[in-house]
Amino acid sequence: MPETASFCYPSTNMTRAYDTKTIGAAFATLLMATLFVVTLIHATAFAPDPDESMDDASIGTTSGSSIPAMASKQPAPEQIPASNLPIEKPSRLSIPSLNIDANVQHVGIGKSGNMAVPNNFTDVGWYRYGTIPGQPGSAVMDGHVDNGLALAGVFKYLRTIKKGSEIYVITEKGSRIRFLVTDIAAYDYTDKSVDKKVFSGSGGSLLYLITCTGDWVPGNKTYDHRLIVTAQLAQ
Amino acid sequence: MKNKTISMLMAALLIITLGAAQAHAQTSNSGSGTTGNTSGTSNTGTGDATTNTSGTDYTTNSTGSTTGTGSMNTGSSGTTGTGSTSIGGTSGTGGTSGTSSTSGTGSTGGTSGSGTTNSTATPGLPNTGAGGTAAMNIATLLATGILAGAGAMYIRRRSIA
Repeated sequence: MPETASFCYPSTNMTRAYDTKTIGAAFATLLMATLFVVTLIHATAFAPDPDESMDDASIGTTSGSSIPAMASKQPAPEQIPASNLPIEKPSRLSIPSLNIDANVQHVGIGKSGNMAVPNNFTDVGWYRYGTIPGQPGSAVMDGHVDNGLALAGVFKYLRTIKKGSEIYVITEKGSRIRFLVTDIAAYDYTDKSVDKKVFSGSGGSLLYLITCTGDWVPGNKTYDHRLIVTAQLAQ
Repeated sequence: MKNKTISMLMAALLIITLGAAQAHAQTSNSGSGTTGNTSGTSNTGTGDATTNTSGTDYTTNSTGSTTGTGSMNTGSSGTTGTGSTSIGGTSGTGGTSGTSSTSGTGSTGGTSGSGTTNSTATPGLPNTGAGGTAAMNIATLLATGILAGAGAMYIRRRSIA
């Protein structure tokens, strides 16, 4: 009996060493588990370059602010199309041919100075300082092609869309605005002429959908091309 | 056993460092000539009109500011007022060009006006992908997952013993 007791509780010093080791291992394990969870969430839930601009309440006070002057670009009364489409902000984007039905976030400008992106990989971002979809000018929306684990983002298969495909923008009040795809093209991400074309577009009521494509550029942590789908308001 | 624990702790530190570096590198992008561009030069323009001191015809001209590495912003302003006030303003942030001017008419010289902001900014195309960091993220997940699993097994074994 004394031997058994000695085996289970050899000495006070041994018991203390046992406890220290276990606590150390538990601490390290907890740390690893935390890092695992943080990495997983970071890679799959938080998109890079989210909106850094001011909120809607401050739009209009352009003096001294970082909001571009094209903010709140509204059509002049004489520009309102005959269709009398409602001037309502978008709420959802639907592309039936790609099985996309996504929530629309209203985004501004990211820290990089580029159009901001949604703060997750499943929503679509609408450039809120630009044109409201359906109004004359170019409404711009963006979405991720993939996330930090290379899993599909909302626009993963946007490249497969065909000319003539239907795109619907559902407004906050439930109106459905129909667009038809007229062009699909990829541009180098450093091509500044594309910026103007997209954000200051003319020639009707246009909708641009943007996502990444091409090869990864490690230095800039982005893809080297942008896929831009142009759609025209359907009459 | 002590050596084993120390090794585990060192591995943990290594992975934490790796994870921190990866997380830090997540946000970056190339700038364009718009707001928020950190690589651009600072704003050196003056937006306010100068004071008319003569009371006669004069011209106020203020220069625009420049922000970002993209398109330059060259605001110009100032026209001639007739014996009075000219309000010249300029330039917003990161725009292409800003122009503004108001010519005043009247009789009293010596009035100054504050400039107005007029700029046009075109943001750059968005950065809509993160797949290039997948390899690093997956490696981090594997390493931390394996270490956490091994740690849990070790603790379990110790507690049973």
